[in-house]
Amino acid sequence: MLMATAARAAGTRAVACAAQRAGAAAAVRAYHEKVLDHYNKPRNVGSLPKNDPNVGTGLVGAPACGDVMKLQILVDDATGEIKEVKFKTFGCGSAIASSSFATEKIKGMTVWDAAKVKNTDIAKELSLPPVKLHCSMLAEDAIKSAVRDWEAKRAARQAAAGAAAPAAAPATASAAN
Amino acid sequence: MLRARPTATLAAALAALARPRAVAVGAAVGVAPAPSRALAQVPDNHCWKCNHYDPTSTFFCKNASCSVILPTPDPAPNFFDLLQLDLPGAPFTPGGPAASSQAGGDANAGTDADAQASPRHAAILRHGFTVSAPTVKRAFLSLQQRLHPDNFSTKSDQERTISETSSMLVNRAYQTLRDPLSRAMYILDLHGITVPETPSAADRDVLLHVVQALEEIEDADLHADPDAIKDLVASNARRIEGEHRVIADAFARNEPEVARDAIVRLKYWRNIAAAADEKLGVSSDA
Repeated sequence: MLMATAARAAGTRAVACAAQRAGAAAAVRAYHEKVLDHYNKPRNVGSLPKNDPNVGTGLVGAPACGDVMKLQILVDDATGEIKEVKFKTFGCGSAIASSSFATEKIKGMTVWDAAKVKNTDIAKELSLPPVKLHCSMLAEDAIKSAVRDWEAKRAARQAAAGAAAPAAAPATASAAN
Repeated sequence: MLRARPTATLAAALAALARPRAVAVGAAVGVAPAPSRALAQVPDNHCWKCNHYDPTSTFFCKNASCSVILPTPDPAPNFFDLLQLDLPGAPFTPGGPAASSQAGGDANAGTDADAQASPRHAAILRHGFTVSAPTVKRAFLSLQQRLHPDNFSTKSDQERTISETSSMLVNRAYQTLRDPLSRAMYILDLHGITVPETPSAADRDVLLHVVQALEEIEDADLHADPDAIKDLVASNARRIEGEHRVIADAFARNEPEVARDAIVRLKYWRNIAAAADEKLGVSSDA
């Protein structure tokens, strides 16, 4: 009953996912429910303040279908732990499910572990068929893009801190030589 | 601009409409050294019913006492030739090298390569994008008027089957060429170039703009302000028009990779337009 409602809702909202649903239906039932569950009740939807120094914003697009995904992480500067994750995905059902699943997966991880998450992990968990593998790649790349953005911010901050103490910087540089 | 040549295309279309029965005229236009290649296509240009031979026959036998519907070659000609669309400097010529480039499956690689080097084929690659939607529609309606299965309800099963197949193919050609995005994708495909499936974070500014626009549409309260996304829709429409110009120029300069990048951007702008239409309750078919 609940399943039928979910499938109908997904059908009206994301036509492009017919192949994905058919594939998932033929696979293990638990995975099928997982995709629908994440699609119908996506976790961690929203935004974090992108100018916050501890927030990394990942942005990726799928050139073939025009889907876009924004994934943001709030990182503990001292430990590198991902304390908060938010995403917004404008695209098909499996892109939404992939990013929703990815946010749950990386919450509590360190940024460095999160950057190692592979699209195949996501695809396997959600049992995505081959035609929808690029959706999980989108999620993987969004995580990496968010981590890169956070690292770039941190590097800029450290460079600024170095520039604030100009006497120390040349000394370190010459010591290295 | 997309409709930079409205009068030219209109005239061309009317010429195309006037022409289908004018048999040997196409050869006289002299687009390419066609005759020897046309002869190579002999087996495919014989009428299945009366065995009349005419290399310029398209869709119908040119023997006036027969006039039976002819099967479309398999694999089918490209959609521009199928719809018999005239292009600047390269009008459609029935039986021309490009028109019959893929006909017959005679495994003659030379024929195919020659056809692809023909002025007609080059014109499709360079100027195919600039055909206007009304031109495509006129060509489609004129063909469909003759090919539609409704015309064959009292004819033989074979004729009805041919009409169904051809009519379906013409329909697909129309659906592909009427829309600038799918038309551009189709020409890109003729170039042998595909849009990558894999994600790209390449143009962060574009993606940032897309996400912001989509969020603005999502968050807009149209009850409080019916014009909340009016400016966004207008500027997005200008972006779409601008991208059409970029694509037309890129194809005209034979720079398909530049066109591909613009097509990817166009997809994003079109998604913004679709999201706005959905928000405003506008049918996307409008």
